[in-house]
Amino acid sequence: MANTAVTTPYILHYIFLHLPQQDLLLIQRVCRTWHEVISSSKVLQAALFLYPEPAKSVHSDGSFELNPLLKSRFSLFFDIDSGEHGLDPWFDSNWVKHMNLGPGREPGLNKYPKLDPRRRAAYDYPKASWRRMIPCMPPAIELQVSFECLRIEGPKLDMLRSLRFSNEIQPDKGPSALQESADSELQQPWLAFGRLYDIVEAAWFQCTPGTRSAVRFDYSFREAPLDVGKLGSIPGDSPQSRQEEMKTMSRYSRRERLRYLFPAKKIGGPGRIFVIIVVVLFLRFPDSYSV
Amino acid sequence: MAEAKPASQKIWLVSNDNATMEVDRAVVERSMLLKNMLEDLGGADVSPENPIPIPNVNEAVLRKVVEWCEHHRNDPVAAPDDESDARKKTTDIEEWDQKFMQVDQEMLFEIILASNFLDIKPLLDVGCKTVANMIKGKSPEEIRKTFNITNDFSAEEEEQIRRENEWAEDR
Repeated sequence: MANTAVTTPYILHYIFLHLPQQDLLLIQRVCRTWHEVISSSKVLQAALFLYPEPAKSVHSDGSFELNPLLKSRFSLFFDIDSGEHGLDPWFDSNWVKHMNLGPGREPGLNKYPKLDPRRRAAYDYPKASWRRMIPCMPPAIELQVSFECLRIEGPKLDMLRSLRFSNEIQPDKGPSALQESADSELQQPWLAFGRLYDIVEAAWFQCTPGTRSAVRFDYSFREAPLDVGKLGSIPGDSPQSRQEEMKTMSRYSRRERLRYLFPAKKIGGPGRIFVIIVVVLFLRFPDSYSV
Repeated sequence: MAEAKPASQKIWLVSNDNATMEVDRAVVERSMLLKNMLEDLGGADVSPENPIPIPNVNEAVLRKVVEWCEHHRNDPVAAPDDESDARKKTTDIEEWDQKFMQVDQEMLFEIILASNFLDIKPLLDVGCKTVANMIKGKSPEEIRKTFNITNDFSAEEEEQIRRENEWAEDR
C-alpha cells in the first residue's frame, strides 16, 4: 500500500511543481491519480507548455521562453540564436527525419541519421502531445506566413497570410476539456506547435518539387497595431505537380486539414504580439508561381 | 512600540501518541497554524499540564519537525507565495536539509504530511523537492516500484497515454 502522500492530490501537486517538463509529461502514465492531478492543473499544464501561463506572469520586458522539449527535439525550428535557424536549404520533402530527434546531436543536416521507424511512428502519431504544445511562452498572438523569393532583381518578400490567436485563459475551458477533443490542437485558441508544423509543411509544398528551398523562422516582438488582423490571400493556383505530390504523400490526410488552419474569423485584440514569420526561400524562382 | 515577546517563552506540544515536548515559542512559530493559534490564545493557557495537542502526528515525526524548526528558527519568514510563481524551477536543497531528509520513505512522507498540516511551508518545500528528486529521470514502471503505487489504468488507457508522449521518451 502506497503512502497517502503519493495519493493525495494536494501533496502530489506540490511535488510535481518541482519537476521539469519531460518528467512531468512522462509520469502521467504512473496511475490515474497522477494523471488527473497533472491534466487538471493549469499551473502544471502551463509547465508542460500545453496551456498559456497565468496572465500575471506574462513577461513585461518582452522576453519569451522557448518550449525546452520542442527546442531539443525540433532543434532546426528553434535554433534562433545561432543565426542559422530555420531549416537547411537541402532538406527534402520527407523532412521530419532531419529533425533533431535525439539528444546530443550537432546541427548540420548530413549529421542527422535517419530516424528508426519506431521513433518516427512516435512522432507521426496523430495525437502525439507535441502537436498540442505551445512553442513559446507567452504564446504567439499572431502568426505571419511570408514567402521570400530570391530573384535576379533582388529578394521579394510577400506576406501571404497573417493569423491571430487569442491566448486568454477561458474559465469555461479548463485544460482537461481541451485535452479531450481529438483534434484539439486545431480547436485551441492559441498557436499550437502541430499547427505551426503543418503550416511549414504546407509552405514546403508550395514550392515546386526539386526546387532547392528553405523554410526560415524569424521571431520578433512588436506592438500590436490598432486594426485587428490583416488577411492576405493564398495563391489560388497551386501548381498541379505539387498537388500531385501531396496526394502521394503518406500523411496527406493530415495535410488536408490545412484548409481549416486559416479561418476567416478574426480573433485577438490589442496588446503585445509575438510574430513568427515562416519564410520560404525560393533559391530558384519557380516558373509556375506567380505573385 | 510593540512589546517584544520573550524568545525563551516555552510552549508544550503533545503528539497523538501522548508524548509531551517542551519547545521555545520562537521555534513553534515556524508553524503558521500554531503561530496563529498562540496569537489567539495569548499563549498564557499553555502549560506542561495543558499542552497543545497535535493530532495526526506521532512522537518520532513531531521530534523530526521540531528539529527542523530549531535549525531554521532564525530564517526570515517568506512572503506568501504568488500563485503564478508557484512553480519552482530549481530542486536545489541546502546541505543541512539534505542530510535532514535522509530518512526512510515512510518518515519522509510523514514529514511532508505533518508540515502540510502544521503549515510550515519551507519544510513542505524541502520534503516535496526531495520526492521530486526521487521521481526525476525514472520511468513510470520504476516510479511505481519506488513508491509502491498500483497501476490502475486499463491496458487501453495506459497505451493511449503512452503513445501520446512516446516521442518524448528518450532522454
